[in-house]
Amino acid sequence: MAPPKEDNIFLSVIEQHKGIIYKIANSYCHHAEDRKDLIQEIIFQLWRSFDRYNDQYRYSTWLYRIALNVAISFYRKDSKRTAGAHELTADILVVTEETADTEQLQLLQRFISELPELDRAIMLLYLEEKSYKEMAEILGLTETNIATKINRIKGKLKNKFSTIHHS
Amino acid sequence: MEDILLKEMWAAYDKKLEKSLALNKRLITEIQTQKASAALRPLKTIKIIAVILGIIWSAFLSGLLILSLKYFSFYNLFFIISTMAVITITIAAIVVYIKQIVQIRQIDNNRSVVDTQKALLGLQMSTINIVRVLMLSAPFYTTFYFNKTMFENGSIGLWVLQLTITFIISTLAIWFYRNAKMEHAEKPWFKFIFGTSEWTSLTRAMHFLQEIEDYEKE
Repeated sequence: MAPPKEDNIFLSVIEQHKGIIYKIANSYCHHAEDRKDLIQEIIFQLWRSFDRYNDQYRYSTWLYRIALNVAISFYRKDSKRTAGAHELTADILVVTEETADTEQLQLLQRFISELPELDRAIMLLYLEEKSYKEMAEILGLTETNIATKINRIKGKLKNKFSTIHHS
Repeated sequence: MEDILLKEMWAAYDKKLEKSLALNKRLITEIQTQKASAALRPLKTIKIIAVILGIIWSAFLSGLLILSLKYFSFYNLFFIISTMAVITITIAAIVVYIKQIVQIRQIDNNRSVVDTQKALLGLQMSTINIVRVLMLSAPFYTTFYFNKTMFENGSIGLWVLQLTITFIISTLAIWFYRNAKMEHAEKPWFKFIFGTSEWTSLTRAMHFLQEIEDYEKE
């Protein structure tokens, strides 16, 4: 078992990046129960690989790689309840204060969740204002490739928004 | 929708989450204590069980084969050939399963998304190949019991029925071997054979692999 110090560092890394985990889970899972399982699986996998964390990268790079890998693999499974961690009865991430999303934000979330898996990952990273270099490290694609793709995805989203506004 | 607006919307979402999202620290502590006990993933466990059962089955058949060779006669030739074929195919499947267990151990979510997903997709595709190869052993299960009594006393009716069964199963096995490939994944029979959940997972894997390849071509 990891020493308590490591436990605490892990906890603070998760606390600091809980929003990222939630947003990724939200983008790859539509149903609340699946999302709960995915969040649990992501945190479980993060903990499993925490002692292999390579400090050559930022915590966020490490966390994005694992969270996206787990989310994409999870999304591919049809029967979701196969998470590696044991069943937990409560939510790890709890939304304490319900505030209604704006219509625009709901649309943006919907459009992102309709993108193919890799495009979805790129868009999430783009909106999180990651540099092309970090995006390339997380995804394993070239910076040029990513730049081209971002422009295309933005174009697609723009079209979707304008179609909605005109209809 | 301007670029800046997208980012502003996302920043507002961030702000909202910052306020409203709480981490259940007790559950994180619970997960931290599960690390050792849950290290063996279900997928790997199933494959390890398959390898063990495969080894037991092959050892049992090998024992019978040795006995048949010791007391060799023309009439147990069918048993010998069928058993040898089943053993060979089972061993081939065991080797692939062992390779998969090694691959599962090497899969690391810590690597880039494309690298990890490619490794996972390769693993998923090789599972279909195991099923295809194992199916080739099916016809031999319809021939191993040909014996002296059947040759000496078997009626024409019995032989017609027996050979029809062998022919049908051989045809199906060869057809399955030739057709159960990912390029046929969208066909209804594929979905029927592999089950809805496995099919969904495989087709998503295939589409994702295509997506990765398209990215890399650009």
